[in-house]
Amino acid sequence: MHLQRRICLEIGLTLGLQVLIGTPTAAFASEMRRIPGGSFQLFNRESTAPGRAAEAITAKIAPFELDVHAVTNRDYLAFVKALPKWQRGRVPTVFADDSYLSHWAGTLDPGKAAWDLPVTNVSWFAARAYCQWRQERLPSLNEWEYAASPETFGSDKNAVTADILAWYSKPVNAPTTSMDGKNGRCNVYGICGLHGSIWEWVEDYNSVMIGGENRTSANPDSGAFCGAASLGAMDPSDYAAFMRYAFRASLKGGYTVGHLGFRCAK
Amino acid sequence: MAIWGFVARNSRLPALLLAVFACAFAVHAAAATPPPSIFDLGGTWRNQEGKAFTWNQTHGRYVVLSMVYTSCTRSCPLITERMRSIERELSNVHRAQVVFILMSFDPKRDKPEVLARFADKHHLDKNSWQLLTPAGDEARLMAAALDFKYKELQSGDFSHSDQITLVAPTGQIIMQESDLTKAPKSIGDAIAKALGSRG
Repeated sequence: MHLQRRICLEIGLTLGLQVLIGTPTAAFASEMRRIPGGSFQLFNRESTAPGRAAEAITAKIAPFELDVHAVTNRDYLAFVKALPKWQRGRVPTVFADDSYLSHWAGTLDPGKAAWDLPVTNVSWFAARAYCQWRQERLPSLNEWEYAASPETFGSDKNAVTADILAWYSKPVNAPTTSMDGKNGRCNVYGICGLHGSIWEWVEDYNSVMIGGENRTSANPDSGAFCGAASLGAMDPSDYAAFMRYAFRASLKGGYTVGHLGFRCAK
Repeated sequence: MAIWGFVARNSRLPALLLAVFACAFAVHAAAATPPPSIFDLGGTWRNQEGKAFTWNQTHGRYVVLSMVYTSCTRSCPLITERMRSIERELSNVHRAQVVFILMSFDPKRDKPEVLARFADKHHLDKNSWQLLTPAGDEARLMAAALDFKYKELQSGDFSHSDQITLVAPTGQIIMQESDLTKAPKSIGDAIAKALGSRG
């Protein structure tokens, strides 16, 4: 076949196939930035072998890409149009409870005010499905914490942590605000709004186990968790991070919560 | 430390922590929606014979299930033995209407042949026990649906909840038992009650 016609045909088939199977075209591609790999001290201490006391652990984070902004209501609308089974009212309750997209004016109408704001009232299952639709994924907990650590916002870790805590202490019903500026403060990687806007789902949110007073306990073992002694007490010096872990421990996969949204990684 | 001074002065923070938890819970307290079914999760699981498992293979039986990994030396054997004692305490008629399922969250190590060896070691009757390993990320989804926590440690070992769940023949969670140090809640009693005079 003539080369030009073949290229046109292939482009047409690709776009047509994407429309047919519901994957987004380039128009919906999210802006992402690359996070370089590095070492990261985990929030929990871990035991490295059976019977050994828990110790501070450093993990390697491989390079990855992360959405510059959290997924917006406009983005999410494109998703539910492409995959109607994810529209409000059609989702099996195991995947999302009855507050799913409750802030939308209609099943296909986020309302003008919400258009460019982060989508909230979405469950973990829904967030995963959205990222998979983009042929991406949710970030892991370690990836998110690594990308969002106070060091990435400047050299004064205590000042950054105090800013984050100030945002956390605003009333839950306060409108979504940003820590610094309209779109949420951006860190050295160019990722914006990690703090000060919404809480965010991660892939392994349910890897957080809290039993008893973990902030100070030297013996967090409880009958409810196997290996709790292996996991060890959390680092109490980053209280803002402790609040995020506590929040994750309270979540269930089908929960849809105001001020809880997500961004994708790959 | 400066942070603790900040926390002590700002008395709203403990209240906020409570509000954070309350926010997540209160929204869901009074909802009257059709209860979720774990059968809706989809995905691919294989059993100890390497065969694909689907929920219609439970043939309308009640399900007693737990998530485990076979390399676990601490509580997973205890969980298995607790499920065995539930099985033994059921009447013959009731036992025929229950299937016991162990679902692994460690597909790297828990291949079907490993599950088969575990079943032999614990004398698990293959007519009433299914040991399942996920093809991909199914364990993370099932754990989310069960409110089961697990974490792979840097050492390759796992930290995880201890949990036994009773599931109705249509996939809804009836009850869960979560703490091995407490006296067992009566999953067996709940089954007998649900099956009523048919036992």
